[in-house]
Amino acid sequence: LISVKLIVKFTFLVQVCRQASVHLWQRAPWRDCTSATRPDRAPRISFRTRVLQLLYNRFYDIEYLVNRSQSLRNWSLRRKNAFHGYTRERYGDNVAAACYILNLGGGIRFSGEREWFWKNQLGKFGGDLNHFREIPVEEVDAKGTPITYDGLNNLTLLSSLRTLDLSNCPHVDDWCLSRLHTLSESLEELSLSGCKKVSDKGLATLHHLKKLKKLELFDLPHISNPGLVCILLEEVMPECEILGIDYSDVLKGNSLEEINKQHS
Amino acid sequence: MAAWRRTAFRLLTACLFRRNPVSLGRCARGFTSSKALRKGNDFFKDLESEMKKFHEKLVTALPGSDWTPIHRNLNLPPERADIVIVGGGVMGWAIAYWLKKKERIRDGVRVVVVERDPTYTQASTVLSVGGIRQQFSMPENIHMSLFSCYFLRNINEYLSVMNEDPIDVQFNHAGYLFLASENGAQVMEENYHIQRREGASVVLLSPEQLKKKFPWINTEGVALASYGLENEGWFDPWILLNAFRKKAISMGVYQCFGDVTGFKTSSREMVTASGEKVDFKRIRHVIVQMPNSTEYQPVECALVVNAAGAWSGNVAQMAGIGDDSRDDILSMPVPVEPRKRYVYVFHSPEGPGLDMPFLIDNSGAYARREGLGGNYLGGQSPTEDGEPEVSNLEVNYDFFTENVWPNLANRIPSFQNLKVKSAWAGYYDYNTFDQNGILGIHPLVNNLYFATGFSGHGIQQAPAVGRAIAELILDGNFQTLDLTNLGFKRLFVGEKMLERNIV
Ligand SMILES: Cc1cc2nc3c(=O)[nH]c(=O)nc-3n(C[C@H](O)[C@H](O)[C@H](O)COP(=O)(O)OP(=O)(O)OC[C@H]3O[C@@H](n4cnc5c(N)ncnc54)[C@H](O)[C@@H]3O)c2cc1C
Repeated sequence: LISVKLIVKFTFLVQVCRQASVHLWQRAPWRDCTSATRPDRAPRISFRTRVLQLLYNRFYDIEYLVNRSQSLRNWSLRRKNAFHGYTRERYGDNVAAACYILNLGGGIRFSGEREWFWKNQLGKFGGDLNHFREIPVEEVDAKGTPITYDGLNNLTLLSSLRTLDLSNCPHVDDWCLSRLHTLSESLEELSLSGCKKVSDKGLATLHHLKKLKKLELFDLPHISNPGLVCILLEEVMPECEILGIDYSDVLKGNSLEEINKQHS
Repeated sequence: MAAWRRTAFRLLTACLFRRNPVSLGRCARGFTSSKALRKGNDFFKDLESEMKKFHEKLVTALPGSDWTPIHRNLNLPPERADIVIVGGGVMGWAIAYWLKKKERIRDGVRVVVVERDPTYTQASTVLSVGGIRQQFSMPENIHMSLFSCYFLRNINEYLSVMNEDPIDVQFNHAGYLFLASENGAQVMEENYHIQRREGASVVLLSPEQLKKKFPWINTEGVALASYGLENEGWFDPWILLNAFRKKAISMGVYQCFGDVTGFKTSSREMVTASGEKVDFKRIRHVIVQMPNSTEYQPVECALVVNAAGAWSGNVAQMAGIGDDSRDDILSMPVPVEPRKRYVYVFHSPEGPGLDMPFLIDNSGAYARREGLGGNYLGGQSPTEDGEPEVSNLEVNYDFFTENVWPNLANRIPSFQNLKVKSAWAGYYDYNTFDQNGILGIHPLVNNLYFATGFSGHGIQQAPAVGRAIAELILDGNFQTLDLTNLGFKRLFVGEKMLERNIV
């Protein structure tokens, strides 16, 4: 019986040692199937993430805390992008959109006005709410704001919006672009420069915007084939001037045939 | 499309071989070349059988635990589990994920997913076209697909794993375009009203509007079109499957590669209020046969989920469902069978561009864009008499030239000039009764749950179905989306839940 106990203890010890070393030097294999998807990129993991993974596997609380902080961030983003239903009911779509954009830190211009509205000291809309009830919003400048898919609910109702600047918005992605079709009857200028999450699949949805005259697409790292995208966009929106990408990329190296090969 | 499947296949096999465990038996074989160690060889052989005996002793000494100091075969499933999911396609993994997500305490339920084919060569999940739409006629289907869209939009909140890149399912927001002839126009309009009521973003287009929006289309024979503006398109099913799998494994789900060959059941006779005798069955063990060996492992379990896709009819049979010799409900088979569907990849240099939606012609043919380089996918469901036989996944190219191409070229004249580049076939998990999913518990085998029969719209419902089944199991009823109508009852009562928009 003693020998049995010894065997059990010994094998247990060996297992613990093996597991610990695996934790430190690799990712835990029994809870991982990453190699199934991307073995071409040898997993080079920094020491920090390795330690974190070790802690993660040992102490549930760490995992809990990390997840918690992430969901807190998501929650605050959701709150900022909430639908301004109350304002909308009392003062109409335009004022609601204005309040929302100013809250995020952007600016707007009403039709017939020369001045832009920006957030005042209180972080609120400074104008007379009742006065603007009937005046449509014509331009929205949401540069660099944390506007999200849900936040667009506040903008999609603006039937006379002519200019929309979404450049450098970190959360604008293909899903957001797929919602812009509601502005198809009015939108003339759109800027998406520096939206790191936008890809060609999002740009493909812009064909809904019949009135679009100017489209800014500087600095979009996620577009796999800028030249080709540019050609195809011009094909579906012949009246629109596209800035930021051009077909020189196609001419440079990616000949159309290679592209075909890539996509087959 | 073909390329990703090929690489994925290669990667998976590579991964598997790497993970092959080094068993004691293999060590012993390594020594045989040396004469001096012959004796040692015997020793090792004995050791293995001794270890086996020792293990058995241990099991009797420690009932209720499957802890063991020696792992004989790392791929064996655990001996005990709470829930065994048969089939590791997108449905199986989605259910596993939601079970783990909904469990109240960590490791509260032990879930095992049993998949027989680690390379997924036949699973419909990886062979599908990956389309998602809300243009259905049944509110349940519309809501499931709407939820799936929500899920895919926030996929990184649900499925991201620490230290991994964010997930990108390659969602193409192209929308579906359904065309209807004179006869179908009225039904289309009714469907449109249902879809609008349930919150889908769809518009109806007259032939003139259609021509204006898509100049490349031939509107001859089209009386009405319906076009999805949001939340419709296609995505990469392989990425979704892997994301579910990775997340579920990271949450503690056991993955096991083996074939489920049978169940050990017990039965109990009960009497209904009207004095009728009913036989209730319960599955006690799931028998899992290991690949390429005679080894098998019975897994003792409390619940079984049948998510075996096109083969779920067979799995049900193993539990005695569809037994002709009986005269009760158990004699009724589960009406799910494999139906072969071809998908063709073709290149058309002058084909439609960025605005090409997922087009469903009134003839039944469909086509969608694949990437930006002028490649397209297309196909069509055969007629009921023309169903191909399903013993293998060979492609019939004549079907394209004779049936699909004429229809597509008629609708999109630029497709007259095209070249087929490749093709593949996959099995629809076809529900012959009413072409809709079957979700829920079997009335007479009362620990066997079903999630099957999706007949060509399963991928897009996977996140919603996973949640629904997890709710059924852990909460006892549907909590978020009421899918009672898709339960078993309709099969026995004979009440079809017909979906009009089946592609
Ligand atoms: C050509 C084609 C196009 C499609 N297009 C679309 C589309 O555009 N949109 C959409 O939503 N859906 C589409 N589908 C349907 C969709 O693919 C299926 O409904 C969905 O994948 C079903 O998933 P599943 O997990 O139930 O089945 P599967 O992915 O088939 O998984 C079942 C798994 O169970 C395993 N298994 C079976 N029996 C056993 C056993 N005894 N033991 C162990 N394992 C077992 C199998 O190996 C398989 O891997 C399409 C299907 C096909 C074939």
